[in-house]
Amino acid sequence: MRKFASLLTVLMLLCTLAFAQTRTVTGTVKDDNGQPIPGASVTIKGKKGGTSTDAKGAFKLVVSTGNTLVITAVGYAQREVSVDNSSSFDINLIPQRTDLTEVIVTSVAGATTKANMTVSVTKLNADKLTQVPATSMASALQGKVAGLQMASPQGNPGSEPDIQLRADNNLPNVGSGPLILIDGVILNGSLADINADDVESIEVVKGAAASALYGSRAGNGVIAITTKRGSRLNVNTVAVTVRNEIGFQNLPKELSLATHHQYALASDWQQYQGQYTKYAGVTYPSGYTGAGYSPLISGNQTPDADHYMDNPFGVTNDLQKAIFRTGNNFTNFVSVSSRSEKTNLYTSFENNVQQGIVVFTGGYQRQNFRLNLDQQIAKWLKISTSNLYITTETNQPSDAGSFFNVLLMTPDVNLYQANPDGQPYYLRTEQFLGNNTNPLYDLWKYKPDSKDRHWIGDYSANVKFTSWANLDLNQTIEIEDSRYTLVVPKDTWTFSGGTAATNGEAYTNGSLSQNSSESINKNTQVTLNLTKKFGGLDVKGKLSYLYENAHYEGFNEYASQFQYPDVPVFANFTNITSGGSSITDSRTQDYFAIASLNWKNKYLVDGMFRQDGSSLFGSNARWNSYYRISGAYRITQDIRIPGIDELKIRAAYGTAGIRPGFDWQYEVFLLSNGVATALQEGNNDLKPSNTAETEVGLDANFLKKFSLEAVYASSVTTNQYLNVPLVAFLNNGHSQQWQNAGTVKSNTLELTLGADWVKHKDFSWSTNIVFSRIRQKITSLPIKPYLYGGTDGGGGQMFYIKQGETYGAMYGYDYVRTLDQMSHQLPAGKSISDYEVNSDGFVVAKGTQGTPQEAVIQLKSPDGSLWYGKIGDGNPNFNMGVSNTLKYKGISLYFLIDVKDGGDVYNARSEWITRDNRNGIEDMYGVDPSKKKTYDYFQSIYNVNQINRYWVENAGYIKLREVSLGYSFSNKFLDRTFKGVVKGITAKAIGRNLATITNYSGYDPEVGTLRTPYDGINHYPNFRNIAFSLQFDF
Amino acid sequence: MKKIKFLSVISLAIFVALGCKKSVLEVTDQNTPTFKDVYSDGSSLVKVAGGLFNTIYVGEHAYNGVEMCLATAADNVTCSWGNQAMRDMSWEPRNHAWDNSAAYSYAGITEFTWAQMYGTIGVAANILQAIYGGTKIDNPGDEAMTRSVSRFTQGVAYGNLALLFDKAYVVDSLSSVHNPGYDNSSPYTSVANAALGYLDSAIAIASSSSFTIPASWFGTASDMSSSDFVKLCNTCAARILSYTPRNKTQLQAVNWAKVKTYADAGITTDFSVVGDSYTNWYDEAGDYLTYDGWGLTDMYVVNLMDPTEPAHWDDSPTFPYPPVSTNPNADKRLNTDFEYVSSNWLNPTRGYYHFSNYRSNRYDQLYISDIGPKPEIMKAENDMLRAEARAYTGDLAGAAAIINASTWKTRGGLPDVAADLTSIVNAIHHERFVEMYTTGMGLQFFEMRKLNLLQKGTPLHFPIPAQEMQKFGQNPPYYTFGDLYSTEDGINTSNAGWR
Repeated sequence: MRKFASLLTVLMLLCTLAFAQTRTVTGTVKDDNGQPIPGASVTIKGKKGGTSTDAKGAFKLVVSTGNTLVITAVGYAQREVSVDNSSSFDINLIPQRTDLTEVIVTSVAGATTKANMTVSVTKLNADKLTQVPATSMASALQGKVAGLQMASPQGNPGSEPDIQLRADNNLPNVGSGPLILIDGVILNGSLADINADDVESIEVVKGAAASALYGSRAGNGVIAITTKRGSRLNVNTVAVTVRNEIGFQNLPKELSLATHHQYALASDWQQYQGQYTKYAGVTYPSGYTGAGYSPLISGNQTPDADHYMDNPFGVTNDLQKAIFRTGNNFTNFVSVSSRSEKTNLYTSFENNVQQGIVVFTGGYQRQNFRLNLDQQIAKWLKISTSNLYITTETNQPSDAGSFFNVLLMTPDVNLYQANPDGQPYYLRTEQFLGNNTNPLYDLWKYKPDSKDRHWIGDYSANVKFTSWANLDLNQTIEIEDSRYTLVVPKDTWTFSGGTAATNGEAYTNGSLSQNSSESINKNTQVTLNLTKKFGGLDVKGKLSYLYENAHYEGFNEYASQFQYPDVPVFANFTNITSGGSSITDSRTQDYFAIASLNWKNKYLVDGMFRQDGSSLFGSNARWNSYYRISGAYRITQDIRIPGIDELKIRAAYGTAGIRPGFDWQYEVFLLSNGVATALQEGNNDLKPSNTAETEVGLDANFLKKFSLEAVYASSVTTNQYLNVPLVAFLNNGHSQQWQNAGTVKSNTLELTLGADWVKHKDFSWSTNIVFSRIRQKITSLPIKPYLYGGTDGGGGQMFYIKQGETYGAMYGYDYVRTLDQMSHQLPAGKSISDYEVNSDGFVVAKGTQGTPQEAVIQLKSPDGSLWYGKIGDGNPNFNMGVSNTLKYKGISLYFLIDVKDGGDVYNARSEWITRDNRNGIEDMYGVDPSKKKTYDYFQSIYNVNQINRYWVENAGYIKLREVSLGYSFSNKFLDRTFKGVVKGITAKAIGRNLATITNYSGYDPEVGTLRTPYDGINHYPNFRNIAFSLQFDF
Repeated sequence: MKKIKFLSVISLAIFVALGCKKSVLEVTDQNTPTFKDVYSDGSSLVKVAGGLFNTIYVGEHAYNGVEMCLATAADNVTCSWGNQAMRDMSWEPRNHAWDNSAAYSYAGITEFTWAQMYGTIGVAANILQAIYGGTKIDNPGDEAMTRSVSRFTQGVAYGNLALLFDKAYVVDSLSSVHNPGYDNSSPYTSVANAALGYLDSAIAIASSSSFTIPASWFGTASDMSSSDFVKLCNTCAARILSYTPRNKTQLQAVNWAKVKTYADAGITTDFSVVGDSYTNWYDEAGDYLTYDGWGLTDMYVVNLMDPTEPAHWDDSPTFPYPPVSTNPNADKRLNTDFEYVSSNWLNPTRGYYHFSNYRSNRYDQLYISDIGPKPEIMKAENDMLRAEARAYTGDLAGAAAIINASTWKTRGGLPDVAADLTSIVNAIHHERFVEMYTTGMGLQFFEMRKLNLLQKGTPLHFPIPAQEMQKFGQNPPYYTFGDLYSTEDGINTSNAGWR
């Protein structure tokens, strides 16, 4: 661009020479410290052309007296200087926050500076993303964008995160994730597979108003990722970057488990200490150790008189240490980019390995290969391509039950004992609580493997007709092939079916499961770009047509009973036990037009209209339209306000939607063995859900140091997708139908505050604070309230969809907590004086505290039925991210603190482990005798896994999410040492998810999905990562 | 340049033209047949009929259904795990009403069973409607088989509804009731009558034609002849009549002569379903009821086999652990179908009354991988129906003769039963608890119910599931049964009990 500007300047010079009264002046442009500013643009107000400063900040320009020079440079306030008779000008620019000059390209009529935006788009440049190089794009955004929330439904490496922009507008049948574009390609695969080192910038388009341009796919907003290209280099240069990272992943916190029990010990138990726990009333075979099942054991444990869990085990192991380990992570990244006159190229490779923290699992391995190429073929024709090829191999626990089983094991269990045939990790490792199996056995024995090949490509041409019109032709393709294999070997032990000689265990004879799928998405787009200036009015516009074609096919097979061991092919089975396959196709056509009007950078108006036709919509609702109208007024362009460098107000209204699932419009029969079973009534009227959003915003820069963006957005989402249960015998046997009904309303307040506290050559300190407060409510629901959300182990659901209720509310039962409550539900013959509030704050029968009779009492409704109501709310009060970057000479320190205030989690894991008296809260060893509780009391609370307020915990947190301490060697040193070959060396120590302050009792308060913050028994815990990175730039 | 512009405009025009092509957005779902595919073609009707019984089987035996909690409520199996209401239906004392709210953790089990039965009924009605509406099935044998099996499954499904729920909807597109409101339900007695009507119809069709039912239809080891199918229909009819009574009074009112007729024409060999490794035929509930770490054999059953063993494990840590049975007069099956458990795996904090010293190992081999046959209806079950019908119609000698030639003798090695009503009823009771352990669904519950033996406070049947009531627009609280001291009436909630 700079070259182009210079070229223009030369031309200008040639032209202007012809006129009289002109002369050439020289000048320098420097900052307030006297440092030269290279590349500053110097133009004459109201005239075409101009020049830019060289490396020493100097410029030369032909001017006439009375002209006004306009000097602009990235990172500095624009300055105007009148041309007097001087022949030389020394101009100082005052640093200004860079935000306003950033250029946004997503969801607008044409590239638009942040200052001229009329809707909310947050742009993150590479500098904000690479302070702590994200292991993938999945984790790069958290805490950096106001209104963006994230969660990891599973903590295993490579797992796909849950991302939500502003409120959750759609009821649970469709996702809350935004549309993701990577170099213009709509990404259907996982963001966790996209490497971060290639990324140039990200634009986050938050609400429906801003994302309306993407129509029926954009109801949840848009995230657009742009990767690096050779075009950012100077002509005829080559740049090479090599970055290597090695790190360690571990579990930051173990759960608190009981290390004492309630059972009477044999009088001689101490003789067997170190071998096993000798309980009274139980007879053990000689030589017995550990706690494993033996058919020779007879008798049962019996609780001691006090029923307190304060008796020691004969052996006390920390079993969590047995399944969690410290894993390694590696990143090896190399990129080469070059630019010549007409060609520029960027190519890179990344190898990413994250072992994760579970023993016997390989974790996640990924290779990314990128090729971005631009070729100017003629002045009017440019072709470009972006390609990313990804291979991943994932080896995660095939049986998440191990996470549960390890918590249920009593600490005297020896997980390393052998099975009857000598295989390690004795399956029946627990004599009592005998349905709990050794967590290590399946982890060791099962052989899961998943592989994924993913190609994302964009091929485009730009045809320039005139200075004001050009045409983009794009063809994109995304192909993803996935394969999963699970081998359960022939000699895999199962619990029962065996003989006394095998301790009741038998071989399952194994099984083989395989899934394979391919999805192909091909999109074709033609866009006519228009841009023209009419006096003070800048007009930009686009007319576009997009054709989307998606195809999916997949199959799975399962066979049980290997004939020959270790031959994992389907021919090694007598017959295939089951199999399945599916094929889906969808096609969509979208037309849209957008125009933006800009009057002297003061008054800005945008408008757009889009029409989507999709095969996913019912035949009576095939076409749906979307629109947006938005405007902004840059007040400080008109009025000077002391201390305020820039002030803009803006407002926007727009609509966007979410498409239905593939088969929702169709009548569906389930097929099995060629037999059709009725399932779903079709719906020809099914249309996309519709989100209409109004947003108002204020953007201000002040005191040369600060920037503030404040946005209030309010949205209404109608035509929700409801899977309505039908009385089957009245509907041809169909038990459900998808219908559009129901409304969710939400509002969001977002604040972003940037501060450049200090900006000196040697020392700088900047802070960025993002804050959001989101409220969402179900205002209409024409069907009965219903529960939703996945749970583990067959536990009950607690998230509740109900008209008038907050979206995210948890419903369940409760125990009596006050005597007043108790007075309304006294059993016959009882008076309130028969009850008291115990030391935990629950009403119990008077005099029972600390005895086996102490029990909580179920709260009842006035009609005598059990009270069932709101027990929690997953929505936080607010989210906030505070990042700080400090630089002193070559040293940089960066840290990101992420705050979530409130927001409940249902701690089902804590509830489940209470079932087997394994919860740390039950351990009474060393507890003040006046506060001791019996196990019976805790069992009354557990209450067979009833969904109860007792297990709802505030999961607010303050997290040190990212930290990096880096050192970059000075140019002087590099020049001296490497003679210009090495242009940069940066070494960094990095921490991810380093420390958490929370009252939440589970592994990590950040658990479950955003929609269903549920901490289940099968959850792979989040880990902490400490790593070292070394980057060379050539 | 002009050429390029021209080309661009042309290509744009092509895209727009493509966009205007209407058929581009017409996409069908390739994964499912249409209603027309399913019900307008004779050969398809035959196939659909082939899946009917599996829908019932899954409704009876899937983990999702009611089989597990019926077994614990009947004191046939004991298991203190909360899963699928096994614990909620076996508290001692039984002061737990059935929680008929949509939010109850195990609300799904009655809803599931209900839905599977109606899934069968609805599809069977569609098949019959198509046939009577003129869809031609080419082979007359196939046509008779399709009609007969449709009627059979309607009968069995309605029979299950009558056995499990206090009321249900009798719907049949061939008869008048097609659009019932919530209030148009029928009491279980009427539902049972409707079931018998369907079974009679199945018998009539199958008796007047000849066909062979493919093994895959009923999950059997081999194909089934129409004459064997008629026997199965008869046994199913006898079961419904015999198992429907909610108490002893209703037991007296059963048309036992009719039971005798049906049972005498019933099965002569076990009706077994072959497990296919967890795919279509898996008695999953039966697996959990016998799996190590899960269900134990209730002391009530242990005591039936060996009266020297306690019939109840008292809820006390000091209750002596009952020793292995050494009684030479004990039922032989105690050592062949069951095994001694020297140490309990159940959680003592859930109550010692759940404990037991025996478990069933009869189906252990099957359940390693769900491969192999398991009786769904034993010949012994039909024998007992025959004996029972005779006993209640006064033919005590005939009843005793049947019992003395049955598994009571052949497998149990028990002494001949005397020809008196009490001994006969007790022997039948014994066989249903020991020989038929975990076969079928709820046999022991129905058996205890009609003899007033279910522990006081146990619901005698389920209410219409909360989720169904919601679909009819009903608002909570929803009616229910069970609990001590408030609702026990001997009609909906047990007011008696064996202890």
